[in-house]
Amino acid sequence: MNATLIFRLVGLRYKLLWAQTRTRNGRIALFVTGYLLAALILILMTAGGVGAAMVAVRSGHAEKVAQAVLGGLFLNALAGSVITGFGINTAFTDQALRRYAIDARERLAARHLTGILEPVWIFVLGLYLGLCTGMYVFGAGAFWLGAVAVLLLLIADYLLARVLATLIEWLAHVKGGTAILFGMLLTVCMLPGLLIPRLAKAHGAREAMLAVLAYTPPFAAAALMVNAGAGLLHQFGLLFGWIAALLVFLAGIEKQAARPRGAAAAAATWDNRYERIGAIFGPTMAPLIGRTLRYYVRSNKVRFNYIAAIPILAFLTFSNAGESGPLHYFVRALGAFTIAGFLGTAVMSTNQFGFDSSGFRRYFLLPIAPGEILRAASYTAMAVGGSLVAAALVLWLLFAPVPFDGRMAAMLIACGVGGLFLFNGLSIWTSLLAPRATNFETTFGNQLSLSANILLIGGVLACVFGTAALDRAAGPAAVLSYWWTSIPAAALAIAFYFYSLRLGAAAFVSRRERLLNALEGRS
Amino acid sequence: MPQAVPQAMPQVATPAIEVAGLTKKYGETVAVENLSLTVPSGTLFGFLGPNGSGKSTTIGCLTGLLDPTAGEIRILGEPFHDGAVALKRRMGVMPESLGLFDALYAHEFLFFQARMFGLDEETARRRVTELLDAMELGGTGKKRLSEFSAGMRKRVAFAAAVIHGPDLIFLDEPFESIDPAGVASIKQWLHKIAAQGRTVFLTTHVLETVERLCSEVAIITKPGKLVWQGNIGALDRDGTISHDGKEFGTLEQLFLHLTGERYAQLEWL
Repeated sequence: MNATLIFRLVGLRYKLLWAQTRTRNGRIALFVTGYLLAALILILMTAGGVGAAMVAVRSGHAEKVAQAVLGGLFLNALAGSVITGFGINTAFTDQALRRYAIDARERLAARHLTGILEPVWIFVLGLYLGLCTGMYVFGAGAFWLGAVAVLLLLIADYLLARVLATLIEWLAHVKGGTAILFGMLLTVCMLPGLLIPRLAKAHGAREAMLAVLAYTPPFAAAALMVNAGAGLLHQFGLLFGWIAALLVFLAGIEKQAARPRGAAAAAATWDNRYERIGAIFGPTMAPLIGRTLRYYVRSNKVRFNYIAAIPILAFLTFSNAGESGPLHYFVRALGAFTIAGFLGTAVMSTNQFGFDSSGFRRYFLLPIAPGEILRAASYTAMAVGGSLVAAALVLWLLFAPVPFDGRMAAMLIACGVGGLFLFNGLSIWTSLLAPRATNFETTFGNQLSLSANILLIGGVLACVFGTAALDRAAGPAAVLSYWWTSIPAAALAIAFYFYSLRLGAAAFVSRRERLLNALEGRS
Repeated sequence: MPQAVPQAMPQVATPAIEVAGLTKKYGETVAVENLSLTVPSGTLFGFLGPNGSGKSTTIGCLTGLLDPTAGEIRILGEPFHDGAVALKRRMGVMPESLGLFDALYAHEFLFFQARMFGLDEETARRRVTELLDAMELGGTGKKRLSEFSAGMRKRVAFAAAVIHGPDLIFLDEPFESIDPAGVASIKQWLHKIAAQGRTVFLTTHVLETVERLCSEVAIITKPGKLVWQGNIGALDRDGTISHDGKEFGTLEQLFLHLTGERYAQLEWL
């Protein structure tokens, strides 16, 4: 094993990360994420780690608390990385590493070593170590044993995230894969809601479930951390077994995913349905919107997010809201409708030109006012996102366990339309002020700029938690009595969108050289 | 006899391109400095210079991609700026980076280009089919542009530049990566285009190609300074070009003399 070269590659990865700080946006990103990470680590290590350890020791249930905390962190890191795309892609592809004098095993090691040393996984390790330190300080475990256990847990977590991401990436490329993905998503979103109440009622189900969970990595790590349960060898064996199995599975699925999918020779088939949709916005717009629509439809990222948007929002709306009556679902749904039209398209609409690669240059060679390009890109995002709002509304009217009320429908429509215009208006600015060259072919990996991430993640959190807070503070009756306020709010959002489009068209021309530099990788 | 031409030369017919005092700066860096140039209509014009001398920047300014810092540009007799939509419709451009939309199929991309340049649907389809056949790209209907080889991508970009029958064509490094048969076809088409009175403005580093293809040549050196412009017919006619009282048997010799480029010696190689 050529360890020197592998560690040089790891070093190169960090040099590349550091190189991003040479740009203004990179420095801002580093500053903000640095502060955020430091603050979060501090809070979580204190509250989540040491605090949990204190609870564990005082309650006399050290192992159970360790299982719950490690299990929660494990699943959150897994879901967080798969959903947001942070830390999911290895920095170097196998193909890129073939130029170096290293064999297949060394390439595998180099890829995953650079992968697991991504900042997000170091952050997760910090959280695991927080608990480990807490347990040690309060006398509930041995530090080094716990540290080794959480290190192995982190490796298992990273590998499982990679397996899931590669599986989804592969499914997104194969015929019928999108339907399988949709089924998987529905299962993940619906299963806990269906299963947990039944398990709670079934006699002995809890014990049976815990007996199964004892064979999972977080439970094995928890047992090692508090030095409890079956022998050390057994727990280490479990962790190593999981890591080995995941590695073998990952290598197999990566091999499958890397198989060339070369297209057979075929004559051109003319399909102008996209241009026909584009023609709704006028004859000049038809080819532009047709082109952009093809990008939306062919992007695995957009397809995945589009099909995931409604199940995720349904899960967020219908979990933990209906205990006090079905009307609470409605208040939560206001947030879901506000973000629905944006969530499915955000990976592209917040970075309208990031997927065009050198094609971006061509826009300015076309015999058309450049502002039209921006309009076409934004109208396409609106049209695709609008279809999600419409689908959400139909599903709500058909299936929501809430009695029909005209005011509710008006509020939901106003929130859906208002959110669509508001977020797409903001997306115009992230596309113009923080553009980023993005790989069109991948399904995973967070390639959005800091501003786009703030808009997307901040938007989702604000809508979901904002309406949850509104539900708790005011209640459905009060919200419904002010139903009419949603209409001027939507009108304001529409005005903001068109004003942004107008100002953005001018900025698109004046900033074109900066956009060219950013999108062609020169800054 | 060709000679150094620091100023735009007066022409009887309307020149295809007239540039006076073109300057492009990036901050403090000067990419093109006070460039004046006249390209006669109906010529195959070779625009030459070493790497980083400002050829692509000049083309960027002449096609509306970049804003000149100073200077005046007239294209086909009319003042040119980035908003000159009617003029852009008469131009075809093959940028150095090709400017392809990688997620599209070749026929979709060419159809998009044709429609944007005002061709009706039927004409656009016919020309796309003809061009794809001519470029030997007929069987690529299910292959995205991102999956094309470098040579195939270049052919598509060339097709996009000519699909609407422009009066003025800019080709930035058109022959690199294309196989000999493809280069021969493109050269033949370019001769035909020029014979019809249309103008081709091309950059390349393959000087032998320029010798055989172009009638008129301009050489610039860093930073975008014109050092020579003239007709290179003398090479065919007399076997030499005179400049500064010296005779040059090939365009390469003249180029190296003007640009001061030297062959570096690496002892270890």
